[in-house]
Amino acid sequence: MKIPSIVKTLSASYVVLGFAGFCLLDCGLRVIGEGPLSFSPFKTPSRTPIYYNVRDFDKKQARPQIALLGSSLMMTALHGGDAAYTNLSVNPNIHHSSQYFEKTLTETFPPGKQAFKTFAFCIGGEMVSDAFILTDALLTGQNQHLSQNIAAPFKPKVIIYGIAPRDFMDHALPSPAATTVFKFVKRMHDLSYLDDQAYATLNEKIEHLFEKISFIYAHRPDLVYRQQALAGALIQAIRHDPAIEAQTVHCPLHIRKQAYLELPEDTGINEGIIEPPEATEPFVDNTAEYKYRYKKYNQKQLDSQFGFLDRLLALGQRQNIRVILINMPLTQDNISLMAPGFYDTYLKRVKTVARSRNAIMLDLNDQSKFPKNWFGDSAHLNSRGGMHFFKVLTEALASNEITRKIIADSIEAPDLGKIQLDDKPQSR
Amino acid sequence: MLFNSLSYAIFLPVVFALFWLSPQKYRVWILLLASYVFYMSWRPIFILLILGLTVANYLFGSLIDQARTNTNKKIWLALACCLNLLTLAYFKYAYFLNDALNSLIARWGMAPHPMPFDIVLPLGISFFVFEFIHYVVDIYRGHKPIKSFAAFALFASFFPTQIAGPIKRFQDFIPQFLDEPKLTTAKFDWAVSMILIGLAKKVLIADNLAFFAQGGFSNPQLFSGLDLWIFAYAFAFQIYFDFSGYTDIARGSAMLFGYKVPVNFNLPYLAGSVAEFWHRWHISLSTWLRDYLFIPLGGSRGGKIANLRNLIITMTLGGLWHGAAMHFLVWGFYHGVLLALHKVFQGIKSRSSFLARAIDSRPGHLASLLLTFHAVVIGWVFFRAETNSTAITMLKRMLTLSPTLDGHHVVSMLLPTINYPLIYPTIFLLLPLLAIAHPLVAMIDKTGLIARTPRTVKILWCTAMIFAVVVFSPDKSPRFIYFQF
Repeated sequence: MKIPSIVKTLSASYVVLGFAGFCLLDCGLRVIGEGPLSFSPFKTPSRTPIYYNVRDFDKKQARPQIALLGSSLMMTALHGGDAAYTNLSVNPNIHHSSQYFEKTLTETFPPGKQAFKTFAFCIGGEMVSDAFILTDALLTGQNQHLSQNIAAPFKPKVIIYGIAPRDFMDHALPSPAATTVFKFVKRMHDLSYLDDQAYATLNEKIEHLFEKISFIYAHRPDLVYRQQALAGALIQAIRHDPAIEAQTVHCPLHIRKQAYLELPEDTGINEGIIEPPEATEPFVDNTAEYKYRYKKYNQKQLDSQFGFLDRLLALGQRQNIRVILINMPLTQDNISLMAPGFYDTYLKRVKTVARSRNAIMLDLNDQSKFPKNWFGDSAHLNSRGGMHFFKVLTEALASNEITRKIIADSIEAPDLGKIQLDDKPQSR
Repeated sequence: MLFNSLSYAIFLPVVFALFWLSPQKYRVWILLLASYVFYMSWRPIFILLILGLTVANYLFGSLIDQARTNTNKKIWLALACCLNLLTLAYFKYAYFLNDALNSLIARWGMAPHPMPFDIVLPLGISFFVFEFIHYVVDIYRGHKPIKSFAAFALFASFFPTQIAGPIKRFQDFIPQFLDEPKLTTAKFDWAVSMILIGLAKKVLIADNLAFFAQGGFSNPQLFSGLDLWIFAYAFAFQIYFDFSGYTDIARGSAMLFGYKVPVNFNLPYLAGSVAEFWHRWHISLSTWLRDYLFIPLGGSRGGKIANLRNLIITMTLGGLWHGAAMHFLVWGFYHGVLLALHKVFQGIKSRSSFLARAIDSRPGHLASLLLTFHAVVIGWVFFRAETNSTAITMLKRMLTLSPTLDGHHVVSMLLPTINYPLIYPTIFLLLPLLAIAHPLVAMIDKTGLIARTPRTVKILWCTAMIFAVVVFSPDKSPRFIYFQF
């Protein structure tokens, strides 16, 4: 067979040999593996809220019975609520439980046992797919990257998951793989079983293919982390800066905002502090943001996210974790931004999925209980509204016979040592 | 499809393989098809625009060539230029003209009229329209038109240069089709090296400088005069590495198919005068402006004043070509004035041997370099700032080295106190290194060091470059600056 001349030309090329060198390096690193290179999901160049959540979840000594899941609606209620309750500043990067909710639960449910403990995985922009992968990766007691799971496997008894229509359909997010939660969790948990559903755009699919093929490409964050550590050390050698050493950020907000336009989100541990509320809390008009988020009715995304809700509830059933869904309060202004009839369809569908999986759904979107003055904008509760939300939630949990039992059982049952680990990843 | 995207990383090798594995007679068609696919990857509908203009200009070229009288030739040329310029004006300047009209009628107390519909600027329109104008004008000037429609269509749509140039000349480009292109190992190595260098310029340098510059240019009122100088220097290097990086990738990609496209940059910040700067910066545009605007305006003919006037008009329109906004117009005008002043100064210099000796001496040359560089940096403030008032705010602070910050007196710069993102603390290291890189590259070029580099070192260099580009390419890389033009 005649060899095409192009092959002869390329075989003598130093560029081709350079590329071969890169492939060799890639294979070599793959053989060495992540361990000896001391790659770790916690050594990441971009620290997003999920990074702090997982890092602190891993460190947590007290075992919470209740895990809280949800997007920014739940997050603002939780942090704002605690800032109002304690009258102290709350740092969402290190504050991962709801003190006020723990208090109301402990006061409401049968006393004499131990106090309720919660742990929150409430992250801004969290989709239902994120809630599912967080549960699958972190709350089933099987993640090898978590030291606590190696020492003593842990999983909560109850998940309280605050949901809203945006968590099912968000024009700002093209696919489940586009969220910071997905990007972080995939570094510590094999999510390849979600390949078909997670990557929606052609670019995402190509990128994922490259990640599968190349060890170096897949570990870009680890290598960028190394480079940043070296650059940090170099700066320190030239001009010592304690802030760089402590990884705290002292950068004017306007510059951080500009950086976010071009760079992946990276939150310093000392950023985003929530202060206790003033006498009157301002109301911010965020309709433009939500108009964009609700912009296009995307049936495919909606179906996919409902699929994840079903999987989450099924996982809870298998893992013996009771999942309680909470339909979060919204203003009428926000609901009116959605496509006509969308909200009712969403609610009906949530109820159907919950019923099919024997899960409870509590609808707290009651405008008589949450008038506009409890809101900080069209979707998020303000700090006092956050406190009010957890008070109403506790009452709702106590007044429903099934949830009352679930919550009461969660504290009566021992939370360590008797957990069955027979649920393998293939049963997802 | 961006040059720094994964889709291009797949597209280019696929087209490369198809091209070289196909018989010669199909190669132009393969490249043409690939170029149209490349263009349609953004907004498929605009293929009609580029196709329509291609057909029209091809026909105009033939009509000008075949016209028997000079008057007829002129008519066809005028029609061709009108078509091209009106298309450009519609897509690029409709909003600008509408705003200008509205501000004018507002003075008479009339209500403004918003644009009744949205106009999307097609990618690369400024570049391919200039290539079409060059084609019809040169046919009018006596050059022979391109016979093959496929070759002409490829000239206009050739994907490596389609979006942001360099602006090609058909006399240089078309003969390369006639000779069967040959791929040698040396050409291939050069091409891929250029692509790697271009990508490195973009993702390692320009993208990092981009958000640094963004931080300052979007909030100039918050920084001291010294800080703003650093931001302006950063933008000067950002735009150079961004655009020259793009050009390197374009030239490398073209060479993979055996085609040479014009050089666009030649270490511009080593220019000793503004005139020299324009011989080193965006060369394909400055030569186009010279040949198709400055000379038709009268060029240097018609006396000194006319010459200076023509320089200013040419550069002002050149500024407007970059974007439909007043700050681009001012940037172009500023360069026009600088070129006019330089012309006047050259006249004075030629009459004073003392001045000529002083300027041609080593310290004089160094002073010229620094002066030219800073004059260009001041121009970049107009270019980068979103409005003229922002640019003026910045320049006032820069030129007075204003130490005030929101009314408070600051004793030092704000920049050294910003510790994150890392580009902020590293900028004081990075900018001097980039400044040194310019003369260093000139020295390497002069000594021919690259040609004498051992093969093993070249292989290792290549591996390192691929590694760096793969690892440090951000997930969301900003677009090349010149894509918007």
